[in-house]
Amino acid sequence: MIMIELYLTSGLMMMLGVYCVAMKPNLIKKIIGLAIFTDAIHLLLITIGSRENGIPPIITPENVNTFSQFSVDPVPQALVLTSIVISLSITALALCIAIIAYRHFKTLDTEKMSDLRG
Amino acid sequence: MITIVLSVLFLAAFLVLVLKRDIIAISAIIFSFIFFLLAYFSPDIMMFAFSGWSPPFGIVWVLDKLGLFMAIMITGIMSLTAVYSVKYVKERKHRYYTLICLLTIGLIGISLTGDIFNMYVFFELMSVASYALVAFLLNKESTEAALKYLITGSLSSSFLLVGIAMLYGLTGTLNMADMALKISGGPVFMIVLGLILGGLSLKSAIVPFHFWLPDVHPAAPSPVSALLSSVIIGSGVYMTIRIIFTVFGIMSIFWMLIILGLITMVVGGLMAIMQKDVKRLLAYSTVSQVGYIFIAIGMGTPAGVTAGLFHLFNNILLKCLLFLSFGIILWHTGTRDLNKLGGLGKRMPWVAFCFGIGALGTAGIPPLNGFASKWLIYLATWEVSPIITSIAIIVSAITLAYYLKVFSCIFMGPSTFKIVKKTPKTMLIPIIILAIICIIIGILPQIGMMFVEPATNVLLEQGQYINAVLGVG
Amino acid sequence: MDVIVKTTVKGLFPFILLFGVYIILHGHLTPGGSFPGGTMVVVGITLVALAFGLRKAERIIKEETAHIIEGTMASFLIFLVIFETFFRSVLTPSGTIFNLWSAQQVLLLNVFGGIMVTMALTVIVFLLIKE
Repeated sequence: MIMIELYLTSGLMMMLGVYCVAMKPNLIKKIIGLAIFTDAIHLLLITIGSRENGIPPIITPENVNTFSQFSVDPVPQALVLTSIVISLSITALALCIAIIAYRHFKTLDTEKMSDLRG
Repeated sequence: MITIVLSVLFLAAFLVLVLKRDIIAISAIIFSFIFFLLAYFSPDIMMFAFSGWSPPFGIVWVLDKLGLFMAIMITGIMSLTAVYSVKYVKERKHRYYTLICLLTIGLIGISLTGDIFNMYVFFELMSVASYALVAFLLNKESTEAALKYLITGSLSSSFLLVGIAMLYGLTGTLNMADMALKISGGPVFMIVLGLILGGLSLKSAIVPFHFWLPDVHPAAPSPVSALLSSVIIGSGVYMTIRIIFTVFGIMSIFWMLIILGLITMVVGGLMAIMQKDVKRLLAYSTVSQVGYIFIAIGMGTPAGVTAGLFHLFNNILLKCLLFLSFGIILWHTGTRDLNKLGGLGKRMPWVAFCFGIGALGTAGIPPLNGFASKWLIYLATWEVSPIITSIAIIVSAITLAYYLKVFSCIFMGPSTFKIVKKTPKTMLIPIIILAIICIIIGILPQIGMMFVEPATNVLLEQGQYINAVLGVG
Repeated sequence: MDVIVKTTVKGLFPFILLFGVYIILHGHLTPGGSFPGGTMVVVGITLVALAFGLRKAERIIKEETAHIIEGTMASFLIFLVIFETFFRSVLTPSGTIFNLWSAQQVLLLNVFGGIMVTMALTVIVFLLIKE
């Protein structure tokens, strides 16, 4: 199928992101892993809407007539814009809570932060 | 019309931050509750296309009976909790009310939208507001619980986004009614359904993904715990039901839901017996009740889906009641440990009454609403397989056991605390209202069925929904 | 921070601001709009805060002012939405296509949204730098 290398890259990045969230004990690395995972999904979304030899979805006075034959799909690009905003706000919130957690626990190691049990 | 409600709520969220008056937020939520209550009694499915773009191209909001039913429940519970937290939350109140308004907007958006990516955006808005609300107290356990919830929650909603991306790639549209026409059975759609269910199971507290709930509940302030357990879990279950029934149609995944529901029920019940912290116990009880809902919905028959929706409705009411009344006890005594609490029944008779109603209702004792919905679940599951019914009855007995333990430990026995503060009226009135509603629905379950049966019809009649959305617009 | 960084930031800051404002204003013609344009402006402010320290950056915009402006811009945005559902194209006319003044209310939405995003992200960035 077309552009299989982009889909494979997206899948590899997803695996890398989940590995970072699950296995790395440092809190900042977990947040970075989360960002890698969401970026992989954005890549997947844009690749779904793309086309071989496509032009960017911008209408200029020259290509008004042949626009729909050559351009890539603009809907996933709008979805990705929205998703970038959401992931930005989650990362900002996670970093703020991580700063406050560092003040309480004096460490960023999540294995030492597990007080709640049962 | 809907833009007025949304705009009022958004305005309230920002104005309460700037002007620092809490009454703006509370009146906005009560206004939206009255609006949805009035909108419920109009005859057929209303549709609202934003900016005039008609359905397959633009975002539509579909006000059918199920969505309006959820919106009424959500705004009702949020207004009661907002009134309750006037006296409970002491510092940085204006930021708390902004987050509550944003949570309400997210929840209403999930219930009423007809576009799957729009549902994801509002789901994320609700999740971010709930992450910030859980970390509100900013002490040691709050930050740890909030971090755990945040990282796992956003990872799982990213899986939901993968599922939605694949659905867009396979069908070419984002509108749920249009998607329902283009989906056929096939292995690819099963993969997509697996991804979506895997992403939504964390918010619905299904067993392999329930681990955040018992850590988050003790760490959050009491009104936030009430909202988390009743309404946020309710919207997770609503999203699952909407995607499975309206988008995918009646396909044969039902045994998976039943098995997941059984495991959830049993694990929730067994883990709840051995808890010493009251809020963790109530959290595991929520997990157990969600198991009941999934067993009933997994039947696929009209009786099963009705029973499941009715139990969802009752669970929202009862869990909010339980957490709010325990919040009053926590406000007075400052401890959640069962070993230290005791003998508060004489000093706080109203709170004991309301907590008792909530406990007996969840366990399924006759004149209350929990009994009506559990009886319907037993009847619905008896036709498919009697083993499921017997497991459900055993877990119900276990539920009664641990609620009796909690009730007798907190309210009976020798008194260990001196209650000096008087319970404020704004904290007592919401729980008394909830307890009265529970008793009324228990004695006359027809009132509950009056709301639930049209909702079931919407879910099972997929063709009617598609015609209403695509035929008119 | 040493002299090279300070001189570079001093030279680049007006151009970054200009580019961000361009992305905001042409949101209906080229890719962009309120959110990417607002982020570009905040990148400029962050560079100043990192190179010169927080006090110099606060002379551009204070944190409490940013908070208040964000709230009011959000309210303006919502008022504009309510206004436009009832009266279309009263404030800005719909002109010829591909022109700067072509879209009716998208221009105003982009401007208000851009200012709101700038202020919100500035608050976040200042809070994170203070730690």
